[in-house]
Amino acid sequence: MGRPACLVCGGRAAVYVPYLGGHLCAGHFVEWFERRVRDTVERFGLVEPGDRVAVAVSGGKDSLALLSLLARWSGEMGFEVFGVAVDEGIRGYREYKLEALRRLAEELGAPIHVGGFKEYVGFTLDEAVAVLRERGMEFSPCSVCGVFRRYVMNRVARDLGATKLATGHNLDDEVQVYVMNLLKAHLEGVAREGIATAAGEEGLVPRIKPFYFVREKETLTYALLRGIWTPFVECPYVVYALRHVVRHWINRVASGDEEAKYRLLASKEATRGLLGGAGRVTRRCVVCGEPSSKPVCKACLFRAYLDESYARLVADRVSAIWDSLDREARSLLRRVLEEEGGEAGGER
Amino acid sequence: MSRNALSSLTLTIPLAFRTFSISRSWGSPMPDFPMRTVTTSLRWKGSIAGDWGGAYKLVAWLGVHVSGGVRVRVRLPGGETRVLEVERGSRIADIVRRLGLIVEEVVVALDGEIVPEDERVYRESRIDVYSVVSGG
Repeated sequence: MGRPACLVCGGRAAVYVPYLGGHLCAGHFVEWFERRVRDTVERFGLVEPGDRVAVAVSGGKDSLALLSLLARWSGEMGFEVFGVAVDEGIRGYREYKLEALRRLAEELGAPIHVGGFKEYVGFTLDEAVAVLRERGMEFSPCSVCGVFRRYVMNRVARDLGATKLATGHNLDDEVQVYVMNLLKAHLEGVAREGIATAAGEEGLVPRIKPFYFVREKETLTYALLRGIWTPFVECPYVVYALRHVVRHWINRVASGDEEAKYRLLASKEATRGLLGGAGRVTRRCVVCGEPSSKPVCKACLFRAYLDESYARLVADRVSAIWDSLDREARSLLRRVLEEEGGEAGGER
Repeated sequence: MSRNALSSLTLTIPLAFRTFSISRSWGSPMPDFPMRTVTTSLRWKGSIAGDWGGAYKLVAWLGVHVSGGVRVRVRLPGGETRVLEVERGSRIADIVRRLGLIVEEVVVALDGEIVPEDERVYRESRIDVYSVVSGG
């Protein structure tokens, strides 16, 4: 009938950590978590002295915990840190998250910059979903939201002179995206989603993921123990997400097999190694001029789908360059226009 | 006969209380640790090999394991509260599954303290369930 005890001090356990194969008390868990994230940052060289690090903050537990940690380490490690948030315009959801965000930012003294969908792409997510519904939900709200968020986040971070964009993606997010990419046979996505993107792509702020090796449950425990308050307000569109289904499936498996997620992450890294890593973005979107691996970026394709006047603009730009495109680019563009979709890799 | 039985009963109870000590401490394991920390421990101070040792242990074990169910008040992530009657000694993981939730997707606080899923519930308690899904 003995109570689980901390493997370091023998005190009352607060958490079971599968990676350690044992329990930790609250104090030792906090210490272990911070050390694991710090080791990740240093070992993979995610942040260097002199960096201007923009933390992509959604107001959820992961991004708030990340902002809190990076803000604490910024002086000692010699980098600047600030938060970048995206207001998608989801009524009854985003305002609560942004409120939590503003409160924490005040406590930390880290400035927060907010970029809105309305301002950068012309409509809120609620307005976009109304159009998606009219058109029979050919694309899920999460597909559209993920693409627009990456687009807005990159533009805001770049405009503020960020040299790194840190996201709160954790081990669970990574294995979920891996499984989703496998389900779609999207190997390019598997190759792309690593702990950091390569530097040197013009116009694209390099992304880093300091929580790559910690589980979602661990970030939540850490946030609760550190008093990083975040209200439980679930995104109303979560039910449309493939991620929702994949998350539950992986978590059911992991509830009976605690090492499953680590093995999935290991197999993902092995696959990325075999695939030879991500290809470089060498193009610019012919419509908006933003970096894109394809002639027209996904954000412009979705904008065209949702807005007829923007569709005409895309058609004009594409027809103007059509003759100059090589066969490969034309076939790629046709395929993208016909099969556009995919929600993997959304921000948190 | 009845007088003898009564005297042995009155003798046993004070001895049982003297042999066990219940200590309760309030405090925080670290300066910036915001959760309320309450530690309750039941310690055996008597001699296990003593004349009364076996009897005391039996009384303690029966008190913990054989006295039926306990009532727990559960606050779910959305704010809804449910009252459940669970077996004394139930694991947190069992209670989470009974609520239709997945153990990997929640963190649980028992009477204000974060606890692992293999922690057991022995008395009337308050359980707060936090979901890993925080939107994004």
